Amino acid sequence: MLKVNNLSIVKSNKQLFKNLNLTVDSSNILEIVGKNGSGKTSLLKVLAQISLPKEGNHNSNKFNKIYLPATGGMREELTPLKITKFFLNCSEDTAIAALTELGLKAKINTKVSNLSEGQKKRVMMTRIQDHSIRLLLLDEPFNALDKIAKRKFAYMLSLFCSNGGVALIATHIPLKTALENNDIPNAILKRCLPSSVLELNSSLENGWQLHYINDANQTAQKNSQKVGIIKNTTMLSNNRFHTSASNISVVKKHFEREINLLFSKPGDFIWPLVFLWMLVSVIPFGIGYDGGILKNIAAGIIYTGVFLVMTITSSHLFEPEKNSGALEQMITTEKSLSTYCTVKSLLFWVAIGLPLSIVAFPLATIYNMSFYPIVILVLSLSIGSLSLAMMLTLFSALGLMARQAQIVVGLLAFPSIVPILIFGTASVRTVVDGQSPFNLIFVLLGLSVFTLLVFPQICAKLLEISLE
Amino acid sequence: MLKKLSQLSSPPVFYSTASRLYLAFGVIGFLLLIISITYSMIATPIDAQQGLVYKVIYVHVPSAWMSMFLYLIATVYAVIFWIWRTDVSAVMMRSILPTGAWMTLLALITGALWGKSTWGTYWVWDARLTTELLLLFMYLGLIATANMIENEEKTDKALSIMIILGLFNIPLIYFSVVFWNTLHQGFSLGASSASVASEIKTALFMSTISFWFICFSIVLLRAKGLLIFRQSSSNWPTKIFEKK
Repeated sequence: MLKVNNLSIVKSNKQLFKNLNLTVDSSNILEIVGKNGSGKTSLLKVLAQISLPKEGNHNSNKFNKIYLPATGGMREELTPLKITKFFLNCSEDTAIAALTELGLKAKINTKVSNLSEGQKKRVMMTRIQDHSIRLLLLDEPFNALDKIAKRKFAYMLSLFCSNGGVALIATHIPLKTALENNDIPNAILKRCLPSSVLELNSSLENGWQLHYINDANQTAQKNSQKVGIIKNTTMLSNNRFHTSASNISVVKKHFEREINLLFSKPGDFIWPLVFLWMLVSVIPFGIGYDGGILKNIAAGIIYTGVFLVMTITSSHLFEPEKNSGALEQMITTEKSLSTYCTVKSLLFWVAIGLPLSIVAFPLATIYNMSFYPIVILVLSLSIGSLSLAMMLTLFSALGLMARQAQIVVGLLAFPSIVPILIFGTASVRTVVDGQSPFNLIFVLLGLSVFTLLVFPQICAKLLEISLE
Repeated sequence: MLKKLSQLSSPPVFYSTASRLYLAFGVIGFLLLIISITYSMIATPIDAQQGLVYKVIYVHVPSAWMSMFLYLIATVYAVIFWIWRTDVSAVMMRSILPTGAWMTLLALITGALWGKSTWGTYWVWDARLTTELLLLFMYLGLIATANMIENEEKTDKALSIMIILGLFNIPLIYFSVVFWNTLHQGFSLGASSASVASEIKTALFMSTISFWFICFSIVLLRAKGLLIFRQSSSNWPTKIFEKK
């Protein structure tokens, strides 16, 4: 049972509604109607735990829930198959079955950006088939849907409700009108009708009004026909998919997603390296070609070069996630955002930090450094860049909130990387002086492990704040 | 006492207290500053090696102390904000930052002038100087964050996290003269500083107090303005202006 107590929502200093009280029993549907800007989506987002209400509370955190936005919600570089696999956390076969159910069999390996609006919507709708979902928050589900898709939707929704789920649907077209005349069997259609309607309108008292649809027959029918419906629907969708939520598979799931995202744009690996090469090669034009000078400044130049390149590339981390709406999905569905942040920053290190450290090898040679110091430089850089990756992930999460993200990230990141710069270059200097650099390398390692353990937690917090 | 302190978290109470305090602090601070400068010019001895120029410490040392102290206070307010989410703590946290940045800059500039005459150079890459420069950068980064985020509530939350994260630099600056062998001299005062003349200590003490008052007067003035701007939708600001 979904309970909402005294909920008030304020958006950009405008009160949308206040003191909203409602309860929705399991197996029931609440329809939310209202004009544009009346707060339908805001209410759904609050219940999806993306944003915070001004006052009041609700118990949606007790549900396994999904929020399907009117548009977007997934990274368009990925294919429906990969997205479904991630969302349902299931095997490839199950994901294919789920997509086939919605008539997307031919499109499973097409990038989402090449799909039509209706097809995108269908990809998102595969998630309703997830067995563990108990609360469904739908925003304008009928936009861009054709007859067949609407019928499939009705089947899924009725099955969802028969299993005791709670659905909240924000729509401009009443459910009845939207679903009528689509060759949907009457029994299923009845099951998809709302038990109550919430009207949001600023001219009403407190901005809202709840209408119960008093159809005693309907409830009775609902119960009596439950068995029949299940039979009917299982004909079509014989599998509502079980999800496993053990920790290891969550990490694996995030890893797969991030790797897919990385490989969807392979060019992103190469250009940072080229940029570092250019950056490092240009400096001697300014300071002269004296081998002795170059040798002394090599470590510092390469370190700052790597910082700079990583700072610039860090803008790719969260910005597309936020713009595509994928981040909202993460926050609603995922239990721990810090796993997501950890995986993301680790792969940022693997994909950008490590290659840059390895490229430092030839670059240090053109700066006249000898072999052993170069090895230490590469080693310290590869350890240090882990902690850089962690910091930059954190700052780019902060950058999501700022107007000029790049500048803010740079202003905050450069002072914070100083410890790494000091210990990293000092390790190279000790080698040149003929001492063992490993104490300093261990300090770097300690810093990196510390940031690995702590920063993703803070980063997760910042991501939550950025969407509020 | 505790009750009175907790009352300060109410915006109207804070506003009226701040309006009185900033004036009082400003006047006291300014008077003390004049007294301490006069005292230090007349009463304190002239250094045997450095001559008259060492007297810049009566500005340099207090401003350096204030630059670190203000950061600590900002962190305290950041923690308070993180726990209780009061508007007053958010406003204080924000209004400390610019003053802290000015104090850091003042410490760096006076230090550079002093350095020119005693070390023969405006700037050396010495641990204490660079960590102080780092503090200035951090203040600037935080001020930039505060300015560039559109949403006030988000800014407060993000800023408080960042301020707490940045705290690592304060012990680095303060103990840098101990950790590393630096050109900058060690602690000026304290148990091992028997060599410092008592007049110098008195003058330094007075100027530090005056800096403290002036800084907090400015901070409170800024906090007062920010607070009334943020609370413009509630009704106590109108009441205050109607009274006038």
